[in-house]
Amino acid sequence: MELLCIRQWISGLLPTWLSAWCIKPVGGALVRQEPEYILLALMGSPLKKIMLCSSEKEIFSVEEQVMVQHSVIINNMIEDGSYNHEESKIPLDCVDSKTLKKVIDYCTHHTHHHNDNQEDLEAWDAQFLNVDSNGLYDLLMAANYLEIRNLLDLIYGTIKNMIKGKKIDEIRRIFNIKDHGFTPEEEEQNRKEYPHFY
Amino acid sequence: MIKFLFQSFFVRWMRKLQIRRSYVASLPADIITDIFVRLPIKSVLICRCVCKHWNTLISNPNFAKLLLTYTLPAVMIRRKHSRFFHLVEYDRIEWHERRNNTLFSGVFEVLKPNSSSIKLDPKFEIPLLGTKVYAVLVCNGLFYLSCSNNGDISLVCNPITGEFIRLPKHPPILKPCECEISRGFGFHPKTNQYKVMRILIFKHDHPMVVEMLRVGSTTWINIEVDYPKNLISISRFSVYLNGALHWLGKDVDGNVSIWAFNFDTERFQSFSIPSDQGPKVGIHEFSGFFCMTYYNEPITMWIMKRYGIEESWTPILVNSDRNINSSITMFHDYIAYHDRENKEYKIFRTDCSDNIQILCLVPTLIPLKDIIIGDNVEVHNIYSLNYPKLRFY
Repeated sequence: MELLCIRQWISGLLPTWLSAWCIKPVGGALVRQEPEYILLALMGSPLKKIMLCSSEKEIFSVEEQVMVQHSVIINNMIEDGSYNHEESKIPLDCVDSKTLKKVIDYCTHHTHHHNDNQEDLEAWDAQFLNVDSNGLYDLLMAANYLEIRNLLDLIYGTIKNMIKGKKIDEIRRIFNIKDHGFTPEEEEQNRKEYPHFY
Repeated sequence: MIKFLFQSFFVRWMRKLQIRRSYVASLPADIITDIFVRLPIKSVLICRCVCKHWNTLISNPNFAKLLLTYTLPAVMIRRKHSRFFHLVEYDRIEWHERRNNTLFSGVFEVLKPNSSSIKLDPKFEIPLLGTKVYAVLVCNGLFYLSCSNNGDISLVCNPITGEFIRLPKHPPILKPCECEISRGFGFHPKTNQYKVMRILIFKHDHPMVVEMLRVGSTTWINIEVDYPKNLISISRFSVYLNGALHWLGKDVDGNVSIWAFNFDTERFQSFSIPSDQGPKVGIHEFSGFFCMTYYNEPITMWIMKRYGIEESWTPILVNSDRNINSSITMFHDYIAYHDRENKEYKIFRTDCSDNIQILCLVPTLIPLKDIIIGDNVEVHNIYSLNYPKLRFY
């Protein structure tokens, strides 16, 4: 039992040891790294940062830990090694700067305040989603693209509350549906069958 | 330089305009579907009428199946013989955290005899032109309604979508003497068919007549069954569970036992009841288990932890606050079960008189033609018939 633990401990530390010796595994081979990175490796670098690039070419620096915890897409990118820490930035062409900033804000807050009590978190979330409908739409598309499950569920909950308990005309107004797409006969049929929905 | 600035501003302005105009139209279908499945059924029906795009998404048969996996069990309530059914969905009850559980007071407003304000909605009306609805049985979200005592008009319908199928008439009752009629409505998982049963128990030693109809076929079939000759009566309505229908049976000595008709074997099997606590009993399904309630003072509930095994009858405590996540409490004439964690609730009547009927179902939008197997099954819709009093609240 102890041998297994020791082996795991050693294999966990192996990358750090290798990087301390400036050796980096790249594509199955061991390559000597540049000396500048020796210091970083020795420091342990828990605050490793990654660069996210919005559609407006603005670059945001974010702790890797934070994004990896929340976004499945970014987690996959980093895990399968297609992201090169030193050089590249992750281009997110579908997300504009304002939204990206908000998303990063959400992820950072939830990572750092993970152990807060439920009510405080919910209050923060409610404040966070206090945006206009365009902003909500942008956040929804960003959360969907980056696959951030808890932000997505949160936005779904908000939209669900916007729909629940409302009648058809109100929903059309809220979601700005000017043309409902039904033929006049269909619309009349609906109004006849379900008059109290309107 | 200036031209470049102007272009970038223009492009951004146009993009913003586009978003404002087509907010919803540009949401991908799977996101909208994800939102719809989280809504209560009434809101889903409303969204179906909001715009054509949403209508197409909701009318998709795969959507109905997906929605079923998210739908929480609900309760429908109606007054005796009434054609009006009130749907009480979990999401729409205001759950309060007070200990004495007055959370159900809103639910039961409508059940007071002279209540003029109907607090529950939606309300579904089955318009059958002035006939009373005598018997309602529920199975998997479908209703079986019998609209006259001799069984001439009966139908199987989905109250949420309004689709229904007329069932063929019962064969006439040939024996001359009085009989008791009991009914059952259940689902046979192996053959994926819904079955309706009618049992006639005659006085004076005539053998019991058991008739069964597979919903979708056109004839009732007589079934020969073995049953003990001293069985003199069974309860009027069945309880469906696990591919079998259950009735309470009484014999000449007054002993009560449970009679289960299994669709696979097409035989009756009897279970003994857990204890001898008096004549006022009821059977129902509870959280997937078979449950028996003794309406004494105090009320006791027993569940059969392992179906079919009589030794596994276990009593449950009513009014126990031991578990904070789920509770069973008495409130006026009802027992209410609330599971906060799984978002489930159930209501049982304690009074045996059926002034109010409570039906537990999982509302579903799945079209009947996908469920009922048969040749030439004609599906009608109550909302498309030209009845004068057609309303959907």
